[in-house]
Parts: sequence; structure tokens; C-alpha cells
Amino acid sequence: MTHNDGTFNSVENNVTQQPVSQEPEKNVNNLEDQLLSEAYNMIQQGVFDIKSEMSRELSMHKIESKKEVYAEKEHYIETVFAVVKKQLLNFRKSEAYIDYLAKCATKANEKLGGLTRLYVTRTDLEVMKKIVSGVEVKQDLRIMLGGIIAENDGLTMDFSFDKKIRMEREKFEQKLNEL
Amino acid sequence: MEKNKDSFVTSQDHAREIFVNAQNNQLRFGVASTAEIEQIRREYIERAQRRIDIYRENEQEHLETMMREIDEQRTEKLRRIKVAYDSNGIQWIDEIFKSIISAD
Repeated sequence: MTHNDGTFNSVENNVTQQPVSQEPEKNVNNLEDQLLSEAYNMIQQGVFDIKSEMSRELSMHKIESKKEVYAEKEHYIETVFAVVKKQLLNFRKSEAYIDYLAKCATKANEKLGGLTRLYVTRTDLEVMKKIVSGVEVKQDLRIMLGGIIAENDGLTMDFSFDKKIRMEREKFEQKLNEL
Repeated sequence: MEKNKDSFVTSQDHAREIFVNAQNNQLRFGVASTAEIEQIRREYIERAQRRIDIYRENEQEHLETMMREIDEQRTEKLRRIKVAYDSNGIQWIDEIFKSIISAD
């Protein structure tokens, strides 16, 4: 094996410990072969080390590059959805929002074959109770941004803005990835 | 990748070349003294190291080329995203908002 200073243990041993042979030329040939083998192995090991090092460096560079692109995409996504959330806040203060809640309840009623319970935000409890009758209306902490979750016999339909934002965000991320 | 393979093969070829030279040396040396063996050893190590250095140099060059390509791709991707956002950002926001408030 080689040391850092390039010496060869096995060769040293052979040189110093090898008894004087009756066939000196054969011993020299063996030593030559051994030296060559060490040199060959040194090259192989060197090549392997360099390949590993370069491969690692390239991978790191790729990862850093991807991180940068990802961060930039996130920046645009956050910008877009911050505006959308602001628009939703304004929408919730409008008459159109009450229409939206009513439409969602009607659609859920049709699709689920009836309604046993509706979940809304705390601020929407009273307005929802005015929209529907004979249906239990409850607050659901999962709903932060508005909309409803409708339930009938264990089946649910989620019309919450929270869920819709998550879905739209996934779609938008996909759109940016395709650019 | 192909270039890597070529460099690797080249290094193997050089190792073999050393081997062949050594076989010639065997004929030349006949019975060698310890000092002569040391000299041969140093020669082989130096040559092996030179081959490794050449390989490293080639690989470094190849790596830098690949890194430049990655950088160019990243720059292009960032440019495309910015251009798309600048031209479509308002429309995207409007579409997303309308989709969310649709009960359909």
C-alpha cells in the first residue's frame, strides 16, 4: 500500500526482508511487478477519488441551483396568493359572498342527497343559519378564510376557501414548473 | 460522461504503458540493486502522479463546463418565470380568484 509520501510498505518489506535468493533475477521481476501493480492501483484510486469529488461537487451545484429556482418560484407564488387572499377578504364583506354560501349549500344538498350539517367560520355562523333551515350549522376551526364544508350521513363536500386555495396553489406551482 | 469514460480509459492505458515499460526495464536491469529499485519506484510513482494530475485537470475542466451549463439553465429558467409573471401576473390572480369564488 502507498503512504502519502509515496512509499510502498510491501516493497520496502520485500527489499529489506527478502532473503537472498538463488534466483535473483526472478526476485527483481517480482519486485518490478509489485511496483507496477502499486502504480496502477495508485492511478485507479486517484481516478476514483477525482470522479467522486467531481461528482459530489456537481451534485452540490445542481442542488444549489434548484434551490435558487425554487425560492424564486415560491416568491412569485406567495405574491400571487397574498393578493388573492386580500381579494377574498374583501369578497367576504360583499353580498356576493352570501350568494356564494347559498349556492354551495344548494349544490352540496343536490350532490349529497341532503344535508345534515354545515361547517363555517365563527363569523359566518349567523348568516349561514339564515340561509339554511333544518340543518345544523357549526363552527369549524379548519376553515379560516371562508366558505363551507357540507355533510350528509358521513359524506362531505368541501367548499372552503382554504381547501380551494390549496388546490389552486398546487395548480399554480405546476404551471410555473412547466415554464 | 463520455468524456469521463475516455479519461478513465486513457489513465488505464497509461498504467498499462508503465507496465510495458517496466517489462522492458526488467530486461534492462537484470539483477537490480536496492538503489536501482528505489529509482524505478520513484519513476513509476511520479509518472502515475502525472497521469492523475492530467486526469484531474481534464475532469476539472469538464466539471466547470457542466457547472456553466447548469448556471445558464438556471438563469434562463428564472428569466422565463419573471417574463411570464410580468406579462400574466394580474391575469393569473384574477383567474385564481374567480376559480375560488365559483360554486361550480
